Amino acid sequence: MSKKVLIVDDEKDIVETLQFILESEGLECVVAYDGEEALSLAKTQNPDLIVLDVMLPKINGYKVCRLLKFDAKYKHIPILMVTARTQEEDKIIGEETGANEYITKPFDIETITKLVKKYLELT
Amino acid sequence: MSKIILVDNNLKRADKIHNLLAEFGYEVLLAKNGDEAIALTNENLPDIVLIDATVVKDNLSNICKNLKFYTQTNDIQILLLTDKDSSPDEILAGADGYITKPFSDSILIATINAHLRIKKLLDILYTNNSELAKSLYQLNVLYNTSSQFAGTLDKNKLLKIMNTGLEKSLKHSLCCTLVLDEGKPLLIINSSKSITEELLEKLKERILTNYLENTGEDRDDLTPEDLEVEINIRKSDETLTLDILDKDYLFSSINVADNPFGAVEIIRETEFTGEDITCFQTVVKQVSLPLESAILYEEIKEKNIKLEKLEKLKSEFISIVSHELRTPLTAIKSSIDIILTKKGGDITSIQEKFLSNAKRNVDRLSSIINDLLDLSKIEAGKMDYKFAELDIAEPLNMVISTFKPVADPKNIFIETNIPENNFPKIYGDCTKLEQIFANLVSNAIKFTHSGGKIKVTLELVDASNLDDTLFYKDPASINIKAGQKIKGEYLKIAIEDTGVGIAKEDIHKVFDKFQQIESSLSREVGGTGLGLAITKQLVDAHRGEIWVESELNKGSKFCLILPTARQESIFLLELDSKLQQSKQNHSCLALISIKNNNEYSKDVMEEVSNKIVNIFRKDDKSKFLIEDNIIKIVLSNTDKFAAKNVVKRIKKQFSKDMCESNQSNLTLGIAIYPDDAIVSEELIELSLKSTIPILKC
Repeated sequence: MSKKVLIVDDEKDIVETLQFILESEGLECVVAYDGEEALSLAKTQNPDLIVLDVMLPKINGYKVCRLLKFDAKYKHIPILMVTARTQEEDKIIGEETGANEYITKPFDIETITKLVKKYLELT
Repeated sequence: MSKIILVDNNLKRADKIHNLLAEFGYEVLLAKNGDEAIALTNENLPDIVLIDATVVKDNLSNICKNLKFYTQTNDIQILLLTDKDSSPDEILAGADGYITKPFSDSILIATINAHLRIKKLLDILYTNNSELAKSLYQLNVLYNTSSQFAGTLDKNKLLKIMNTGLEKSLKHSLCCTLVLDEGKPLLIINSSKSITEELLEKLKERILTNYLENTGEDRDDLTPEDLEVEINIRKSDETLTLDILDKDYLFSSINVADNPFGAVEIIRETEFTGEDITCFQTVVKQVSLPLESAILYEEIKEKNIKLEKLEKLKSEFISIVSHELRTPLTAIKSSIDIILTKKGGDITSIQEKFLSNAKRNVDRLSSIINDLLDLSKIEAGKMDYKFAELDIAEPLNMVISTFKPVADPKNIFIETNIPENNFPKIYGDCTKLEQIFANLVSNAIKFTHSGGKIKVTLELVDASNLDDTLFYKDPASINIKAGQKIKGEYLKIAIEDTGVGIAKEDIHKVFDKFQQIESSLSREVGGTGLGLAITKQLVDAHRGEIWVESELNKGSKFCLILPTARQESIFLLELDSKLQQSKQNHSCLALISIKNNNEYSKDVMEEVSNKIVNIFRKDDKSKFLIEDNIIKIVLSNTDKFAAKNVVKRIKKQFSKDMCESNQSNLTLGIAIYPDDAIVSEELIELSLKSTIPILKC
């Protein structure tokens, strides 16, 4: 059975490209466009990995990440945080939220595929 | 008319003397005993007290003392009418003269006249003395006032000091100060008693009329109704009446840098003397210079706040814009990537070529954004540096090996032989150093034709042997310290290429922002035009220097020098970074220097430094610099109060040792950011300048 990835970003274009890349790697994708949707899909769809943008409507990515990582039921799900911010402090916040990886925009599709594969142990 | 009090209990005798004196035109008052005489004297202030010695007998000296008790009665002449057999001791017990009985009328009159002359001269002396005392007092007040003027740059405080000075020296009843510099015209009234509405209106009118007359200004907008009023009253249980307007007054306008600023008017019940007028004018004149400084200071402060806001806006703007640009850039880049990796199906070679062009430009755009962010961070003082001692060969070799794969396809040979662990360490941030080297090496590759050569060398140099006119100085930088020559051991890194070179007239431009030298090649190779500007800033942060030597069409040689990890260079870099932290946290930083003014002695300095280190926590060595005869201490994240306390603690530590002779010539200086200076060099210089002896032996 193919693994499931939850993609969260409020930019439709970015969601589409990410979805295309990951689906072409044979993964199943579900998508969310804001923090609230992300949380509910993370809880109902049992994704194997989440690609999570930071700047999100309703609930921001840091908070989504923290809420999942501090919940015993979901903390095993690897989270790759994606952000356009590069300030050092953002990186620190990212780490404190328990995210597994931290990727800055604009990202390489190769980098992202490699990281997703690594966390899904598909390599 | 001269007044005489006659003290006698023999009415007949008294009557005779009374008549005689009255005949000569003196006013005579009679007292029967000592107590009556004292009461009459205090009430009437006579010139002479004539006492019959039989009345007072043994009590004479006491009575004389009491008669002359007050300042006003001190100079009264006391004359005794004595018997023949009175001893001189008795006579001299406080009296000024005597006449032995029996005496003729003419002797009495002659003696009285002589003492009246003495009294008159004493009176003149008294007046002169009190005038002198008054002048001295006024001078004292003037001196205090002018030294207080020098102590503040606050406009309102200056006016307050002026008013206090006037009040102390002239004891006026009322002082009106008109302030017209900006905003609503203000009238400050300092009054000894409270003021009625009616009087206030009159005062407003009068000062404005006086002001307009005095300055010759034509201002219709100045009306009594517009005046904002501030009233300070000393005694509110009494009220000044309109009569005060008829009393003597002094008026003067206040000019600041030849422009009218306002006016002062003081009113006093008693008339002003010539000296009072001079005093008044001096005080008013004296306030204008500090007022000018205060006004300029306020302007500068306001401008600084505006500038700071602008700077903040700028760096926020860059940060937001960069962020907003990155999101669409990501979508473009990954879309192109998908097509180029042929995940969406095959593409033609022409499609591939143009998409590759697009991809390359997207990458370029994203590196411009990164550079912009970097530069705005550096300029906002928000770049974090993680300084540590390190071997410069490591980041240098790392960068060279990273760029070999870029140089090889262009057939460019990178010549290098940099042994590790062969040179003194430097104190730096490894990531930033890598960024510096990467910028320089990639530039060299970019601007060198295929088949060219790049040579990277590292050597130890003595900075005082270098030609510092070559060093690139940013004309906009405030850190330029003219005439300050760098000294000591530095590591020099040179990256030399056989590329296109730079024309002489362009050489000073290479480190400027967005200043890529215009040439067909530079357009071809691309780049952001920010790389060298960032490099320069990063080198500055390491307290290094950078420069370029070049010849058009022959090649360029970029050189940079970085201080080796010596005590003082580490201290300076730590001071820089602590200063930057203070700027960001809006906290104070204090630099304390302790100097041994005697000949250098290792023992003394060791002992002193041990004591200093003991005062502070031992763990943070970077806070101290012990250099020859000077110890420098940095206190970061402090405030003025805490810094002063530390100075007290240091003094206490040294006073415990009861003035050991070898420590007797220690002095201490302190400089505080942001009050005294805002850059490291100035703080150091100031702390060395101000010296307070630690020990008072």
